Amino acid sequence: MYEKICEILLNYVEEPEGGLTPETKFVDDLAMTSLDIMTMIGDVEDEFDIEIETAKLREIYTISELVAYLSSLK
Amino acid sequence: MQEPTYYPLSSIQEGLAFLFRFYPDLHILNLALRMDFDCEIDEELLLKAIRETEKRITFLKIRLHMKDEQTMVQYAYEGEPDPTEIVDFSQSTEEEISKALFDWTYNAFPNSILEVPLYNFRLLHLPEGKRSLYFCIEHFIVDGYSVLFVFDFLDRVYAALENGEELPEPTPYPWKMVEDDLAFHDSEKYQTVLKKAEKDYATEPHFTSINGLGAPEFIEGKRYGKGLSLTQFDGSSLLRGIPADLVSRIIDGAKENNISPSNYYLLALRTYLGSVSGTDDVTVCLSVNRRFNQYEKSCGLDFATLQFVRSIIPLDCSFTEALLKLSDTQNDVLRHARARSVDVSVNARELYDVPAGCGYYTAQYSYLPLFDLSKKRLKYHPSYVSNGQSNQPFYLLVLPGDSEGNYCATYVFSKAYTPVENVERYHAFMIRFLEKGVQNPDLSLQELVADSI
Repeated sequence: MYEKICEILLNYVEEPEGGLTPETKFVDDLAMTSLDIMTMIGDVEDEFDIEIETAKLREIYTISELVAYLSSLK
Repeated sequence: MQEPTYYPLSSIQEGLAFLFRFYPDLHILNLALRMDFDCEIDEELLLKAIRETEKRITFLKIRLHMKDEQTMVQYAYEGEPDPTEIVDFSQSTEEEISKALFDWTYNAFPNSILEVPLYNFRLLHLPEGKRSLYFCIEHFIVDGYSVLFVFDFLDRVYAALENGEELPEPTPYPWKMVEDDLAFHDSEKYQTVLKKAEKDYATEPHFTSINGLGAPEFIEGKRYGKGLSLTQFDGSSLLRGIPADLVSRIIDGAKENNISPSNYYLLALRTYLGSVSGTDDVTVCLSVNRRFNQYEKSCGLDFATLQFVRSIIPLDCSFTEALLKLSDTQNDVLRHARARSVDVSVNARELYDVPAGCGYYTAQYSYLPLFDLSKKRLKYHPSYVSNGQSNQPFYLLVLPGDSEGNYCATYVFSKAYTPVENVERYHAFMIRFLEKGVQNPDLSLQELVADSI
């Protein structure tokens, strides 16, 4: 799942120097806007055929937190 | 010259092409900004930078062609761009300059936009030795984001020429975007996306207006229940500042709450609409990029769609609670923003028996401070140039204001529908509401409205 999330993420951002890590932060490290994040999440929902709770997204700052949340849904 | 390769229009462009068949002199799609320089300019270098920008941004090469009576297609014109016109306004008043810019914008593209360049630059010599760059482009091929992209690209080219550095790479041609868009609309996945977007579509009347309960759409105290759905009508524009200090505090607050700064301005707008219209149930129309991925960013283009954000937020909510609620609502809409708004409304009419031409919003909002002007080589303040038209009763566009961090609230509104005093009244409310809300986020919307209206 982590690899798939990174693959989807790289549709929306350039790979940073040093690559993506589980602790990479969407806003602080990748300078993603909320639109970037939401449309990426839309792709994630389509890819994994799930519906993400919007309020939960405000507590997710890193790739690992997103992966952990998605894993809890499955 | 060799015959070019013709490409189909995207699904959104097809809709605009249909519009042009009925309104060949459409003016509303002429997008123009002026870039007033706040720094010394090497004019020769700037003209060279403009020329290099024209050669390197491939969407500037796009022209339109009628393949047959029914079919419009697009292609890249590979000939040399025309020289940039230099216009002497050094002895002119601001009123004379504004009138000239308005006339250029209104009459920008001849021949029903076929076989002609779909943009132009003009370098203006203003009084007191100042300089400004006027830029107009046809909305048929770009959105507001791309206009700012052009200014950003020009800045990078200018800086590279000045420093003897390598110029930015040309942008990719956008043909793959068009192919992907058309393939997506034919796919089964599109139907799934459409169903998700339909859930957000408002079906019960809950009308609001920037004009409040005295508005034309309220008849005998009852909500008429229909929105305006016109192509273009006489419009006007008003530019008002949003101070850098407030902008900065909003950005800090947004980061703390892990939401977008755009939510703050949207909260002010929907709270005002609800307060003057006597309801907590408000729909605002947003212009949203659909799946704005790396390829689209590299082209400098996006496919935008209109999305309807409906929020029911009682006035006893605190400013912070209201922001979080609105953010969640907006994020739901953004995630489903791959469906074209026309498809959503057509389907919604069939599914929910909603009358044709029905819309429950009269305010549109866009947030476009996507480029940080303080980090640019060229110091300038951009401002919207009216094309004299509006297809909305009221449209608020938040743009970067200058390199000092100020933003510009650009209001475009229909003259007959929205008195300018109501626009001014709204702007004053927005500033007071946001100043107080950011300072005291535990205050309720009720308290903030009472202090701000």
